[in-house]
Amino acid sequence: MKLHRITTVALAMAALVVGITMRGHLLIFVDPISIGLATLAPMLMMVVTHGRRSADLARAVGAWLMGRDSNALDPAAHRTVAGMARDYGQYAVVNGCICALIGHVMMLQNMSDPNAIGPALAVSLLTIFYGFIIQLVVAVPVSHHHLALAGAGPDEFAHQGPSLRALGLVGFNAGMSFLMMLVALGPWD
Amino acid sequence: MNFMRIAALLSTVGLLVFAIAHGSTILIFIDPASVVLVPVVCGLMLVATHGGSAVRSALRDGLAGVFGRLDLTQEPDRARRVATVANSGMNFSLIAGVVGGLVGLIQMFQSLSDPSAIGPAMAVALITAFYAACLVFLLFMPMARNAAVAD
Repeated sequence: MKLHRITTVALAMAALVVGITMRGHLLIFVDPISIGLATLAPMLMMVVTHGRRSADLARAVGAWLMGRDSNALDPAAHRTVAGMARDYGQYAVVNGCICALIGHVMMLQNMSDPNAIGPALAVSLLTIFYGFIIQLVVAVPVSHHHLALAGAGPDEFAHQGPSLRALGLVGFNAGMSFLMMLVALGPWD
Repeated sequence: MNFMRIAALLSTVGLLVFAIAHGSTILIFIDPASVVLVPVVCGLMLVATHGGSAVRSALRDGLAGVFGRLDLTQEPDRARRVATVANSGMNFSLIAGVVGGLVGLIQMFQSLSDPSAIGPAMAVALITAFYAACLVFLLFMPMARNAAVAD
């Protein structure tokens, strides 16, 4: 069990925390409901999509974190795991966008307190944030690691269409956040 | 040293700096929080994915291939390693840029009641996106595309 990989990942998370605390408080980024939604829903969708093979992905993520490199797999198995890891990341981001939209709608229902609008919008964006953290720390590294082991380049999945679609969804959500803010701050009485 | 390519990169950077300096001081584009959020996080995740020695040699080969005398079309193995790391770097930079943008956006929405804090929080969001785009545009894409020609 080699610890170099998990220490590097821990250092990356520490750098994120440092960057956040340089400009504000860290506690505004901690919301239990958002964490639960962002972590559970992509896993459930992975089980829906891939069935029992999702356990292979869980095992691969554990092996990658603990530095146990499994060179015993054949290239096809590496490609499958890489595809599953990429799917997990895509699910995480899109689920974050959906939960953020749910948060926007809930905020529109409770517009009576003007001071609570900003924090409510911030919490609704947290799910997108967690989705991207999952993609940054788990999905993309594991996917690229197994692609490198399979001898394929990262453009292996280019035929599935651009993952910029996820970025477009995030842009839509950010724009919606601003629109919600303007709608909520308007003189609606 | 390939002077034509170095001069072209410096000209691009000069154009960007001119565009910035035309409307404001360049100091507002230097934000330590964004420096931590984008290049540091991207570099650490690159090392976590591919290993420190692979990233170092890929950076050396990639920069030598673009600006130096190394001809990557003659060495497909090194070209493939450079392309792998550079493509990963592009993905990580974009994700780190979006994460930084979200961090700034969330901090801004939390401080809507204090109007003077809205600007700096939004600045973090946009400057992280700017750093991510610059990393991709000035560093990772030239390395990746230059190495991809070798295939």
